[in-house]
Amino acid sequence: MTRFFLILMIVFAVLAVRTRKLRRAVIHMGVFSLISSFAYLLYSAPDVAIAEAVIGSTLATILYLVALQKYKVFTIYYTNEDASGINDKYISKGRGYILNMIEKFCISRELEPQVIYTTESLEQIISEHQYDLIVRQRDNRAFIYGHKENYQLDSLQEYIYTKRDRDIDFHCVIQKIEEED
Amino acid sequence: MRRRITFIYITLVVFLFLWIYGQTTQILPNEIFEYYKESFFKDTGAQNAVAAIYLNYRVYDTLFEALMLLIGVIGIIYFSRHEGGH
Amino acid sequence: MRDHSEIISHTTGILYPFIILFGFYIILNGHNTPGGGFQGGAVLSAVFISRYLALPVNDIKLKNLQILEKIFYILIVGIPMLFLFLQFNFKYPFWNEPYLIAMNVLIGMKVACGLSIIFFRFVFYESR
Repeated sequence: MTRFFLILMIVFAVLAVRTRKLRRAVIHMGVFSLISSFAYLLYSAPDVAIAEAVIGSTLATILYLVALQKYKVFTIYYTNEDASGINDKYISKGRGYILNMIEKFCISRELEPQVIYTTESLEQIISEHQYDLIVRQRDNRAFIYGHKENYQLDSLQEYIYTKRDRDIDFHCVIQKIEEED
Repeated sequence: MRRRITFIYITLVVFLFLWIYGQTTQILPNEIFEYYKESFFKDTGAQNAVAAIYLNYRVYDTLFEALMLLIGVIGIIYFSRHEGGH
Repeated sequence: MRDHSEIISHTTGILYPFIILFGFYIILNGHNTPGGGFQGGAVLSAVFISRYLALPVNDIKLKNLQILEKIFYILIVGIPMLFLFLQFNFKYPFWNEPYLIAMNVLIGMKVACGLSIIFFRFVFYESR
């Protein structure tokens, strides 16, 4: 009986390490904690079993799931300062191109892109909204702004640099914002 | 080749460990254990031996465990300070 | 968590009082049955977490919880100092059981405050 549950614990630990999806790994960790609390009960230590069941398989699992949910939504502000040119064919083509690329990047990272189109200026967005990325377009140039502490920014730069289409005359510049809190 | 050598090495170490573990029979000095088991109800009035130990015999453990949780809370508040709050 | 479902909120609404009862049962019977302050406090903080799942509103004053936790910690340090280090437990054996219950309740409240502060900090103030 005890040995069966110990073997099951090892199986779930290996599963939690080997799975590709983060969410499944969290669930495997929860099941691992539950089985380990049952193993404590079989070793006749009910105090530790209660603590493990409450902390390991409830609080820790919920905290991890909430953290994953927070981490997944990736807010992108798209701004184009002169509103008169918003129907320009050239600009809309470039806009589709850059946003498509960012969305592909988000999907490869298991993020959930949420694009918001505004006509506000850059400083207004920085001071008033919660953003992850700001895309500002001027003619055939796109400026991508991100916060200095945003660790997705370097991988986004590398992604755009490797995957870009060399036929299209379009440039991206990535800048980091340093703001004081 | 290198990976195979590493794998064989790890397997050998694991089997050596299991063999040593199977050979030894560990006997701890258990005077304190016997004392706790016999007289915890008389000393502390608790029927749960664990509660007797962590609230009476080893109360320092409880104090510093609570202090550890307090320090963890303070650290989390410090690290998430940049999003408003105070 | 933006689109919270009806089923979850109703179920947690029904389960509320039972979780609170279970937590206080674990704390108050900690000296007789398995359990104790830490485990009961963790169960009580699960009440706050299920409340967040039912209605995600940020109306809990974390500062008050912090002050409460510090007061509880001072009491946790102070009561054993008075009771054990001055050897009251041998002079007055009657007070042993109330001492155990009081310490369990204090530890339970402190752990509940601490874990719910950690959870709400993560949920409401951490977004990047």
